[in-house]
Amino acid sequence: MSEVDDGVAVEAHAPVTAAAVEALRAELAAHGARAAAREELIIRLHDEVQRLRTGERAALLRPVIADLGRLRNALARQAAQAGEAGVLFAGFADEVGLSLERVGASPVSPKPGEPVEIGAHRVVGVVETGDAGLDGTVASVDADGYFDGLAGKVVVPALVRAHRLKREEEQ
Amino acid sequence: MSDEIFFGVDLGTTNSVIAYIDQVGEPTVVPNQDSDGDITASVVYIDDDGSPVVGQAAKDVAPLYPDRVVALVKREMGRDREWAIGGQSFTPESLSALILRRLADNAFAHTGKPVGKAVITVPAYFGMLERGATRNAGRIAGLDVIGIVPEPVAAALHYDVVADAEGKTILVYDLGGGTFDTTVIAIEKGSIEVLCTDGDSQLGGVDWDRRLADVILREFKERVDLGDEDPEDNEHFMREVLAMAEDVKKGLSRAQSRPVAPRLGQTGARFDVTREQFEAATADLLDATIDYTRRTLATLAERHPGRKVDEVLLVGGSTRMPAVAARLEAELELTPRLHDPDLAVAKGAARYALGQAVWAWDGDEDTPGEDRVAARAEAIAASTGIAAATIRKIAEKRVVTVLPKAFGVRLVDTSKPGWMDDVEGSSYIEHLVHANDPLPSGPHHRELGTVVDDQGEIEIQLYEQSGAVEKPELAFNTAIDHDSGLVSGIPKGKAGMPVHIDMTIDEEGLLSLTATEPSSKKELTIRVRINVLDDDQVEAARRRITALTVKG
Ligand SMILES: Nc1ncnc2c1ncn2[C@@H]1O[C@H](COP(=O)(O)OP(=O)(O)O)[C@@H](O)[C@H]1O
Repeated sequence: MSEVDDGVAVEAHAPVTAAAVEALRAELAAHGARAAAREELIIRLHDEVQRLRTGERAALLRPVIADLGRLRNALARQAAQAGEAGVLFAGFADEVGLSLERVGASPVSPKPGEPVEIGAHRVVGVVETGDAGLDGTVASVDADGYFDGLAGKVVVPALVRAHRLKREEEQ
Repeated sequence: MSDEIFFGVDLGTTNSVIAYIDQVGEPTVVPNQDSDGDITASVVYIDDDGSPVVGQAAKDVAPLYPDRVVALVKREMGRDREWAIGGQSFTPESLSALILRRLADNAFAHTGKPVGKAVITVPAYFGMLERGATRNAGRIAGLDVIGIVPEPVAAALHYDVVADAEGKTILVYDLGGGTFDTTVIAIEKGSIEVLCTDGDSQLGGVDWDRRLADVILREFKERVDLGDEDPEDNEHFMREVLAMAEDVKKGLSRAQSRPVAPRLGQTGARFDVTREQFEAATADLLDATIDYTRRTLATLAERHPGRKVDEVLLVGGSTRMPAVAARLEAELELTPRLHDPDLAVAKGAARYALGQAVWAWDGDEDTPGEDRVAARAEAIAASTGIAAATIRKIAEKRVVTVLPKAFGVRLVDTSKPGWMDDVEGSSYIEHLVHANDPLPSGPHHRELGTVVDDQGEIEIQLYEQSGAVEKPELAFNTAIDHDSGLVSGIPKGKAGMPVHIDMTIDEEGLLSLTATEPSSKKELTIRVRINVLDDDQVEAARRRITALTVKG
């Protein structure tokens, strides 16, 4: 066939072909958009997997830290006993402390007089005071809290009693 | 660009949850970054310098700063209340906005995208003011609130009982931390209606905790010799026992017995608490919820004779207690459905948000056509990255919520002898729109007249039905207008000058009123405001709240 013939043939079917090409182009564009969306999704999923890995690990560790922490606090309390039993319990408490360290957790043990820290301390009782300087500070610690190094935050707050300024009218 | 995410928020009395539809079309809860699990305590602390902390950390300092910590703010929604803390003033809307901001920030950290379009849930008994306040809380938080949906309706969406369920009647039993609601909803062609709702705002999981704490205390006292020391005098010990009780309670939802080891100073004991003991100690609490449920069903029978409940859905963390489902099953002879009860509302709300977007429609016909819905689904597929087919499946049925309560205007019955001396006693409410009218609704037309010569002005007072049933007496309605409601510019003339009132309620449940003078068709000025805060106040609060960093 000659080129002219081809040209004529194309000419004759022009309206149909133009529409077909247009449809094809639209299809391709849609494919392109879908491929781009898929690409984007893959990148996002990858990021998400990374983020989740860290998050997941923190989420898995959290109850372990909480339970070990509770155990350490209970042992520490028993360690206050006099005599051999006390020493024994103190040893166990240290042992559990080391386990916590191995998963990247450390105790939160505020000192009396330090300011109450929101997010790190749970106030379980208040002690009234007449000294304005003491207002909002830790009076005593009932139990240690625990900080998760991996997540970078306190997962178990320390239980504290806090000083609160006696109101004028009450003094 | 797949950027858009649809969020659902369960803004709860004690706990709040935010969920979204993920890219595979599954409702997904955003984990709380600040503490364990998916739930954020609905508690706000405001620092000396005005900076806010939301969640467990706020709750933890409540004993030290009772004046700077606000809990249960949901109970104040729709009221004109103000808190002055840290040199700033807060409304129920702005405090709720802080909770929403914290949820939105967590969602941002989790999804990597800012929260835009969101649906917020409200209890079924919330009226126009409370719903308006909730919507404003969302706006103040900088969210694009695309819907306010009743909690039981969201739960029904979560349980997927909505598709192909025309004519179905569903009972939603919601037992949370501090509140109990029971609601009957009907799935009709093109809408979901709340048929009746009942409950107790002071009954919840915490009551079960207290009972179990009593059991633990009793067992402890039997086992140890405390001399004349009364453990109940030890505030710290009592608090510990209560916390222990909640843990044990949750454990007893899975196991038949749990070990407990309370310790007071150096005195300790160790014993088991059984599910049987727990259930015996809390039987009357469960009975109370069953009584409310029966009362709800009685109301249903009275108002919708012949309607039978087809499904029972359990919502709220406390419905994880096995006794709840067992008792309801025995009572109703239906097997209740229990799935993610504490997250059901947020997840259902996220589905509703997506559905709203698909069905969004401001055309003239009642519902958008098939083509238009398909096109919307495609568009949303492109903007969210969720497959169009999945979107169509989630939004299979258009959910239209209904007006919770009737609305009307206060009128004076001038045919009543002596009405001039007792205007109050001669007043009644004429309801222009009624409970269960599908939204949008109206315009509803009413012709009023002046009652004295040369009146010039008419004061319109808007009222919402306050009880479960619509009644004309003032005592059964609540005034909801926050402005003078004055219609002015009425031409002078004899008593009986006509004024036409039109009341319209949009899809969002927002009410608007217009008044016209019929002879001139002139629109009269009318001053009504249904929301506690006006638009300027909302905007000012939004600027202030979105500028704050809300810590968790
Ligand atoms: N496994 C479980 N068993 C029993 N009760 C539970 C369980 N999990 C949570 N709860 C209780 O659910 C309540 C919280 O319910 P939730 O729906 O989150 O609260 P609200 O709707 O009041 O904001 C708490 O009282 C909690 O103790």
